[in-house]
Amino acid sequence: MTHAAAILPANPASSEGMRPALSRWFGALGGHAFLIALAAVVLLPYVWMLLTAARAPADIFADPFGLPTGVEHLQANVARAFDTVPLLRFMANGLVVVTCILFLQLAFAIPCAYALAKGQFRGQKLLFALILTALCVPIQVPMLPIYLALAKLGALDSYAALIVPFALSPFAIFLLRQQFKSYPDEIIQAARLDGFSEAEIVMRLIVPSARPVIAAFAVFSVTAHWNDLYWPMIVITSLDKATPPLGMLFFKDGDFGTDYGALMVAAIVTVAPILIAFLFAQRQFIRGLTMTGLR
Amino acid sequence: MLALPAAILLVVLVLLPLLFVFGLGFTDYRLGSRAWSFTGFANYEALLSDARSRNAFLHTAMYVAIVTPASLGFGLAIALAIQARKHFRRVYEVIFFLPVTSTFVAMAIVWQFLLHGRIGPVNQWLEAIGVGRVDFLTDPGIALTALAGIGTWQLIGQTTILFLAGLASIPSDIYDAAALDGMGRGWDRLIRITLPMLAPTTLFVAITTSITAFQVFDSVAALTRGGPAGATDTALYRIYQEAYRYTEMGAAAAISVVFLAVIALFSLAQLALTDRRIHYG
Amino acid sequence: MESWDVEFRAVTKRYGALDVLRGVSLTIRAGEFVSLLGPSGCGKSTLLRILAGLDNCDSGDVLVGGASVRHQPPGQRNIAMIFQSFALYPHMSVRQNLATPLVMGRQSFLQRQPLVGRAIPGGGQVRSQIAAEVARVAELLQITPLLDRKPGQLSGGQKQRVAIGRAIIRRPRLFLMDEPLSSLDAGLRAAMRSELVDLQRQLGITTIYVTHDQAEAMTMSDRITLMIGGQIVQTGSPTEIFHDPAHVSVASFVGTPRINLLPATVADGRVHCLGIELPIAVPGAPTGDCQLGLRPEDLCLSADRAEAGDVAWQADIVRAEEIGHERLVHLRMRESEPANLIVRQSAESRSGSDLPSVGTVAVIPDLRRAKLFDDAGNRIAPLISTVEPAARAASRAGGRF
Repeated sequence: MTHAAAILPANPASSEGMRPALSRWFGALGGHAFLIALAAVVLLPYVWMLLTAARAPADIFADPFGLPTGVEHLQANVARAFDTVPLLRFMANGLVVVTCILFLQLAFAIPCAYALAKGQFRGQKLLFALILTALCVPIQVPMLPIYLALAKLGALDSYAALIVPFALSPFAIFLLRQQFKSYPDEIIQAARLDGFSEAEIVMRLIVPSARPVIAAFAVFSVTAHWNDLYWPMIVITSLDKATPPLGMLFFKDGDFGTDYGALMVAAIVTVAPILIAFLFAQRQFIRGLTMTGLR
Repeated sequence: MLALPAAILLVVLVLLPLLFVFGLGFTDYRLGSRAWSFTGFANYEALLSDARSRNAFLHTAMYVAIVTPASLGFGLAIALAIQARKHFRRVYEVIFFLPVTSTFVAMAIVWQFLLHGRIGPVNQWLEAIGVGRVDFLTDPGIALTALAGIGTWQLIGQTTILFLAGLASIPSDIYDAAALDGMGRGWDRLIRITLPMLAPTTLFVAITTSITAFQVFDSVAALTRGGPAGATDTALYRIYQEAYRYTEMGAAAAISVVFLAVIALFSLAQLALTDRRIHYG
Repeated sequence: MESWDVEFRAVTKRYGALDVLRGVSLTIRAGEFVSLLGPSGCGKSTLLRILAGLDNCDSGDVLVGGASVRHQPPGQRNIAMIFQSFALYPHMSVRQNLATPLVMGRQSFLQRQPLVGRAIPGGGQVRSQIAAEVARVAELLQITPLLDRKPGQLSGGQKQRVAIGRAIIRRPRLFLMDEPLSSLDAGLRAAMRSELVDLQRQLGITTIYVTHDQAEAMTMSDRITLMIGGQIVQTGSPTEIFHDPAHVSVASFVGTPRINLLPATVADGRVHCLGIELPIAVPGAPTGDCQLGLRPEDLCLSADRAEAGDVAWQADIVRAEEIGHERLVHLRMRESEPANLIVRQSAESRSGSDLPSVGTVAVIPDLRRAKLFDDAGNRIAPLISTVEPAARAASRAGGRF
């Protein structure tokens, strides 16, 4: 084996040089081919959604593979979609709900995380242990008694019912505590000496320093709650309070559920906001939705 | 004190409800009924004897048993392929991640259309290549697998990104040393170096994916409603039906407790792994 | 073991807009220990990686034993490399780490596979061969008790030995080392230095050693190749590099503390420096600005102006550092910019000296050791000291050199 090299030609410009480069090229081509094939499967529903939204209902049934023939069908589908169900209302509901939830989650989590990270109080360890426990509990389990309580209070089918159960996010507390822990104590002490109140320290020093983590969490929370079907399906019964996923379900289960053209328009409208936000803020999204994998 | 509001919420929204659920599991309470009593373990016994409830957990287990390996396998393959590319990496990452961000209900409905027995393009295409029609969502034998396929589609982006992070943490020195030892970019390097060094990541991704898969609901509620003939009844859907359609709170609570036990187990494992990752990077 | 020679022919390498290697040519003789020395970014690691096959050169050629290896994959070149981080496989035991090169080299593809490999007939003999080799190398490097541990459980020095073991186990043609001692603490470094040199002498393998630490290069190598900015500035023995630098960058890089460089001018073959005409002749040197290089040990101090003589400069003492066996005196020259000078005084030359630690002193150069560099940095030679024999004897009598 050690003498094999002596047999190779010493000519640097020989055709030997072509083969490694070529095989590398083929390797790259194969890799791209594999990725493109899978990407096509992943994109298939999106492409289909867009194509179908621009075709007339009759055509969709007659010729599934056909392509859109003009803009007028798209316009008609859009008109019908917004007529059949209050799409705009759904979007507005979604916006209100995710914003309120995020606001509440941060409002409760930030002080708590700060206290857990930098504070010293009785029961601190216990509180943190309970937070960790809450992390291990799937949200659908406490939903049962909360639903009962809301029913007793007559508060079902309301915005409050959609928002309040999510006001506490153990995940946010866990994440922020970890982040706040790494903030230098000396700066906090110096700030206290300078006359900052605790609230000012939190809001003007600590929170800005944790902006990336808060942004990532915001992405996670907004996406999760915009896309949530389970809880709205449980508490909401009237059309005008439905969030986008529930709205989609109402549409599909309604009389016009087989109007695929309009249905696809509704799907596009439901999916679009988060998708566009994703395209503009890819890094935050990827970070937020895979943040150590914890929900 | 700063932590008080959150602590109160914790008690009201999580801890008390948890206790309540445990308690409910031992009763036959129905929403709105005045007369109810403690029934001991009757609900839990019913879980074992009632075919529907048993099947719900069985189907959920089968669903997870398909979705987790599939999304892990695809995720790993795609991550390896992306990592070896010099160009367009970000483009691929974005494409594969799209389903993770998209409202699952909406995309599931699109899939339902794609997989439609009569007018769905997938069936048209299957006919064209001679395989013949498949009733993806209306054939009891296939429906669960079809849902698992859709579920995998949705999770691939997440596993890919997590594996990419894991691959990036392998020092390039190790690959250099491997090259000098005779391992090029091939099978040998994959099974001797890459996969073993990815083992912690793989375990973590497997647990995370399983937790998400256990909570399957949207596709069942939108596409099959537990059918056809109960073939896609899953744990969460069962809970939903019992609690909010049949208002059998006691029964629903019992199913919830079992559900909780399984998820909590996985979550604890995940928490333990996360902790280690934070400390030993 | 057989020894192989290495040749680089006009190797160039570019990363984007950066020329990392600009036509490097170098011959290394079989069995030699050559250091590639230079500051960070000079291209030494890149050159090493090109030899190993981990990077490709843009043009030029690399030959081992007279045959081009430029297009061979690294695994086939039979070259071993030790990395700064050791790059041990963290999930494998020491035994498995050591065995890997042999497993890849001697077992067939099927025999290598984890579970089924054992079932392939004929594998037993190769496996026991490999086990014997692993035991032999472990014994040689005294790491036998560590064989079943994982790299994470080893100390820095132990990891170093395992890395060496993995490198030598397949009897490579060449040994490449990329700053292997940088991550060890100082005491260990010195011990490992001599171990590496001993090992290399024992095995006789041609070794190329990349480092930015000149002390390492000077003490370990047969020859040093100094690289700056992607080019070889000088190749030679440690003595040549130190005492006979070809360029001011070589003189500056090697030697601690750094060589003192004073601005000077050449006119008609005579040298003027800071107001003094120096008794040295540089026949044939072009007229113009130049630099006079004098190492800290080539200078001497005297508190007595008269005794110092005509060839001396005035300077103020800024600071004196006592290092036990010697003293480094930092001085500020009156007539020059940049103004600082460092003089090394060894213990003997100071004994009985009445030199204060502050004040003004005369600085006397030993012009026999002076080095003159033109304004492009190249060494001007020959440099003939024209000090009269009597004066030389007198200054020697002063016992200061």
